[in-house]
Amino acid sequence: MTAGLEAENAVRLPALSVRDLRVLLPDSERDIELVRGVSFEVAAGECLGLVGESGAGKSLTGYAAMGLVERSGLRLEGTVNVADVCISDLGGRRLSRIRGQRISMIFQEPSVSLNPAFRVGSQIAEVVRVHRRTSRREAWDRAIEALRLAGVPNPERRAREYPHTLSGGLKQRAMIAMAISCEPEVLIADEATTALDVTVQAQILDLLRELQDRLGMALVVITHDFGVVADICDRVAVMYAGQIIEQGDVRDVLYRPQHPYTQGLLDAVPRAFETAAVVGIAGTVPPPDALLTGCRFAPRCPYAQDECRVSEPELMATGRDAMVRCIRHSDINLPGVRRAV
Amino acid sequence: MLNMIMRRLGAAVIIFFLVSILVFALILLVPGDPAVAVAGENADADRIEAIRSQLGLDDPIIVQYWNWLTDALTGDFGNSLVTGESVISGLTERLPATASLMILSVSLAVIGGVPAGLLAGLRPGSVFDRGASVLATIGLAVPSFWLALVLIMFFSLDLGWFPAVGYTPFTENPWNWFLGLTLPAITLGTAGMAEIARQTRAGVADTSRREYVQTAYANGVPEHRVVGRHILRNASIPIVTVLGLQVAGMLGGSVITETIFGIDGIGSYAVQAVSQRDFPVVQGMVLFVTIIVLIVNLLVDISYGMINPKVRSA
Amino acid sequence: MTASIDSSPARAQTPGRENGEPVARGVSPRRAMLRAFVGDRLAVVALLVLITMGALALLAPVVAPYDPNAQDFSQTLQSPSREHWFGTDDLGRDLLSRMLFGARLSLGAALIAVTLGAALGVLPGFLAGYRGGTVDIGLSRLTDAIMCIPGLILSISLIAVFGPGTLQVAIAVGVAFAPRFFRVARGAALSVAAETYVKAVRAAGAGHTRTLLRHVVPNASSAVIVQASLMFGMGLLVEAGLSFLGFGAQPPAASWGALLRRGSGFMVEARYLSVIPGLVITIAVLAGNIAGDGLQRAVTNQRSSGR
Repeated sequence: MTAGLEAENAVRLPALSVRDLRVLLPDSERDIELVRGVSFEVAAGECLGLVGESGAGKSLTGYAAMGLVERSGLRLEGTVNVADVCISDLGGRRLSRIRGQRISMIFQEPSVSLNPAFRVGSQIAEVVRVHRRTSRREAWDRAIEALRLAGVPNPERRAREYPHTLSGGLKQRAMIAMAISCEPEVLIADEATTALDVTVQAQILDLLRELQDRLGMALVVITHDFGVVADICDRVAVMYAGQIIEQGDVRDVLYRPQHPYTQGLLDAVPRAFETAAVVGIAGTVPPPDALLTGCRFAPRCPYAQDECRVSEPELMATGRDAMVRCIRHSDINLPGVRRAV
Repeated sequence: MLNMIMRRLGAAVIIFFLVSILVFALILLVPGDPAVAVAGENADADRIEAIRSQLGLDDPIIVQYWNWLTDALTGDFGNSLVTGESVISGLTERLPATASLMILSVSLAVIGGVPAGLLAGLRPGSVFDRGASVLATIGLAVPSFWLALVLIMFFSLDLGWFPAVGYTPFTENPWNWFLGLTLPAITLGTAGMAEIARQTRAGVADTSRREYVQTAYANGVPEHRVVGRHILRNASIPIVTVLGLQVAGMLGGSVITETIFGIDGIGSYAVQAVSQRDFPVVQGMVLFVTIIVLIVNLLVDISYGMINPKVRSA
Repeated sequence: MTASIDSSPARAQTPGRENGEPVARGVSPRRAMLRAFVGDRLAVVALLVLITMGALALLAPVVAPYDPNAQDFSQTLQSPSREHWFGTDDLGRDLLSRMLFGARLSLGAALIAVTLGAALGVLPGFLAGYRGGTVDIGLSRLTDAIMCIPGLILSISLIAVFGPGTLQVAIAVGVAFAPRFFRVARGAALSVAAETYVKAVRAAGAGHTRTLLRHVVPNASSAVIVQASLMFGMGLLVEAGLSFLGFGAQPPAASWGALLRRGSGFMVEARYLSVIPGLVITIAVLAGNIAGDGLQRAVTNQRSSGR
């Protein structure tokens, strides 16, 4: 393969592509499937939202895409590609070289995600030095530059400080600085704004959008909050019980949802901060080891009929890049967002 | 940092005074007339009177304490009732032997305990983890004096590798110093090694689950660096804590170990003094050991500050 | 968002279960604790070992094959045999019989030491934790001071005061244990006193004594019991160490440590005299520690599953 062809390939390939991803919790009797065959693609410069209740498996999908689940005793199946590199086959050193360099992740709790024992700048500089052949001095300068990019005021001073002296918003900015310090192609943000004050949330979302434009990254935003999705995402995949149940363009999904669960999530938006349970839908997500036949949402679905409980529905294409996992999607008419988000 | 050290130092001074009162009060606890108790039931009246005045038992208690404390602060712990030797020189003469034993025991406990705990903590539930945990449990239960006897039987009597008793000063012959202290250090260090392994394991297992370790992995920091820099640094707080406690525990344990191996250190000096009810030596020894413990505690506090920036600024 | 699966895969657990055990509902905490302990096979075995040792000690006059102090100069330093399972010492005394009678002293001294330590430490601890303020500061500082003296050093200096003997050793060890009980009791009382219901009871006008006795003591006592069980093994160990140094029971009576001391004089010609007592002490301490750890785990599990 010539260098020219390779470059051409890299342009055509999606920045992140996940194929039939499964995360399994090994158990003595049978393995418990926590993520049950998730597939999606994100192109460079595009932002995909992964939405769902807690327990839907959306964060786990993110961790799995990073190759971070095996360390906690979970098993991974399926493939994850960052451009032309299949990272689900990699391990150890070679995986480390991809992480942080080509695909990065930021987490929910900035207050515990930075190591309390080291200066903010040195933690970022460490990432730079792990991936780039630079001197200490250059790595430090680059760390300051990353902090500046992440909108940290007075980055020279902040870099010398320890995490506990920073506010939650600044800590999250520092986390973002660390994640983008090597200009990755893909950034996964796992509930990156959930733990922050409402005003800070908006700023962090703006920052993510801005950095995405500037660096041309593919962005995956994992959230339980459709408000965040509406704010920042181009496309959205709704997850329920370890599967994607609806996927499509943000506008389509917001205004013309096809799955009753999506409608339930949309109804819950105004109250998203007060409760994790979806208002308008009774019941909770079935545990991953529950033995269910038929649609996993059927027990809670207001539209469920006998046929829904017979076999598990496939993900059906309903338009260009629109998919839904509901056999009644053409029979039912869902209102979508009832008020401006 | 300096602020924190000064505050800890202040607390140490208060504790020192409290300990000095406790130590002084020891002699007041003696049932009956302490002078008689010390001299023995059959001692003649002159001897009892001599001891009474030597212990200063004729003065009011406050005066006795004051005299004793001011003397102690200037390094005068009085004289042994048995040999007449000055207590402080008795202690300082024996310090090198005890210090040698402590250094070797602590080193052994750290060199054995930290890596074992680290490996176990990184792979909780693994065969190594379970094996190490069983060994640590046994190590904490084996009486040091019995371990010493078994070691002597095997390595001294059967194999003849190490001397069974005796201490050679380092300055005299470093090799013999090392040979003579090997079995005592194993005796004294085993329980500490077990405890350090346990705490290291707990600390490492706990730290490994922290989000910042995840962050490091997610940013491509290779495993050996995550373990060596991120995990070990944060797990070292419980390790340092237990290390400080172990130093104190080993100072106590030296009482038994030194007696068995015939090492003329502070521990065997203490046993001798207790057997002979040589109170000035007992009191001086307790105060001396306490000062060492307070210094160790202070070092532990300072290292907290070096490990954890939050402590430093607090 | 508190679901374990979502926040971090490291804590991924099957919902509805805890530590792999089905969560028992509608069971009293004490029952749940007992059940957890009984489920801990190793801890139960350890407890059985201790109970057996205790029973043998109590029944020593019945089960001992010989008079522990009967000397037989035709049978000195006999290796273990059918007549003398543990062999005989330099005076021809049967080691098994001496161990059985020694168990009374060793186990008894450890029990007294732990009880005394609890008696000295717990009440001030409850008081300091519940009242706080100057009482707390004063008592805590005193505890800090005592804890700066290594336990064995403190114990032998008390023996210098009281003189040698089994009871004296038990007291000396008990005093050295008291600060630990103080800390545990203080911590437990502190957390109970901070609970809303206790504040409510106080606000409703219940007196200090009543609140302390009715609410703080029962809820803090499990921590103290766990601590006591954890200290038993150490009590055995320290008592044996002090007896080994010659500060314990005086001849001809001998606790396990004292037997080991005597045996250590015959390391060349009669190793069993030091190997056997040491092994028995190790087993007893091991059993005590394992049972204590098991109890602690049971209490912790009960607490975490009860909420």
